[in-house]
Amino acid sequence: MNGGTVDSSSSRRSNSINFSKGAIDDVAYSIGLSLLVLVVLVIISYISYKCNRLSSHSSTTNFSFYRTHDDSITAQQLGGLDKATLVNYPKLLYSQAKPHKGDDPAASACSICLSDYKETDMLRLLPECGHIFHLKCIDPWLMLHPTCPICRSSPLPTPLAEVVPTSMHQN
Amino acid sequence: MQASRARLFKEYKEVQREKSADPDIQLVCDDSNIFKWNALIKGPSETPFEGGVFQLAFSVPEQYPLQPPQVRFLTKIFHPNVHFKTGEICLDILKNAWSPAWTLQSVCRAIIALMAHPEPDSPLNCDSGNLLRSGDIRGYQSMARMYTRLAAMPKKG
Ligand SMILES: [Zn+2]
Ligand SMILES: [Zn+2]
Repeated sequence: MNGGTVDSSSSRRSNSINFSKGAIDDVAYSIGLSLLVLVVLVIISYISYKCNRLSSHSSTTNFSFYRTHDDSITAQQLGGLDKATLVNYPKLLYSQAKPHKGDDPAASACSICLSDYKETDMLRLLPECGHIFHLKCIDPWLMLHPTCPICRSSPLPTPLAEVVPTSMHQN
Repeated sequence: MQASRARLFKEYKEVQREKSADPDIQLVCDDSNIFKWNALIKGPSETPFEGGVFQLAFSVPEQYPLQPPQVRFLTKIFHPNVHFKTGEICLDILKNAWSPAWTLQSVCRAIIALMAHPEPDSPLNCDSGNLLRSGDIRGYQSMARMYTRLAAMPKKG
C-alpha cells in the first residue's frame, strides 16, 4: 500500500518534474519566439520608417507638383474670379446707384436678364469700367469669365507692380 | 433653367415689340419650346448673298445667357465660315468671345455681318476659304451667288 503510494507519489513527482520541465521549455520557447517577433517587428518598423521617410518625401514633392499643376489647369480652364475676389467688389442697392448714373439705358436695366432694376435690387458695380448688373446675374458669369459682359474689359484691377511706378512718377 | 426661360421670354416680348425695327431679321420662337428658335435673315446687299433669304436654327442651352446659343444655317450657303453640309457657323461670339449681353437678335446681326465680311483664315468650308485666300474674289462670288440662287431664293413658276 505504502510502496504503492511512494511509487505513485514519486511517479507523480517525476510527472510534475517532467511537466514543469516541459513548461520551462514552453516558456523559453515562447520568450524566444516573442523576442524573435519583437526583433522582426523592430526591423520591419525601422525599414518602414526609412521607407516612409523616403516615400513621404517623394510623395510630398509629387503632391505639391500635382497641386500646382492642377491649380494652373483650373485657372486656365475657368479663367473666372474666385469667391474671395468677388466679395471685395462693390455692391449696392439700385436706389443708391441711381443718382450716379445718367440716362444710359444700360444703367436702368440689367444686360444679363434684361429686366429693369427695382429700387430694392442688389447690384454689383464692376470697379474698372463702372458697369452695373444684378448681383445674382453677374456673379455666376464672373466666376466663369473675368470680363465685363458690356465692354468685355477685365474687372481685375491692374497689378500693383504696374501701378506703383506710375504713381511714383507722378509724384 | 428658370433664369434662361425668363430671359428668353424677355427677348420674345422684345422681338414682338420691335418687329419692324430690323426688317432684315425675322426671329420666331417655336410654339411649344422656348429653347428652339428660327430666324430668317436677308443676305446683305452688295454681297453674293443679296436677294437671298437664309434660315437659321437656334438651340438655346439651359445655361443661357451664361452660355451662347447654338446656331446653324438651315439654308445651304457657300461661305468660308459656314460648314457646307451641316450649316455650322464659325464665329467667335458664338464660342469664346460670347457675352451674356448678346441677344438672339444681335447674334443674327453678327451673322449678317459675317456674311458680308468672311474670315478666310478660319474656314469651315475649305473650297470657299481657298478661293478667297488665293485672291480669286470673282470665283468666290460667282460660286456664292450660284448657291444663293439655288438655295436661298424662292423658285419662280
Ligand atoms: Zn439681371
Ligand atoms: Zn464694363
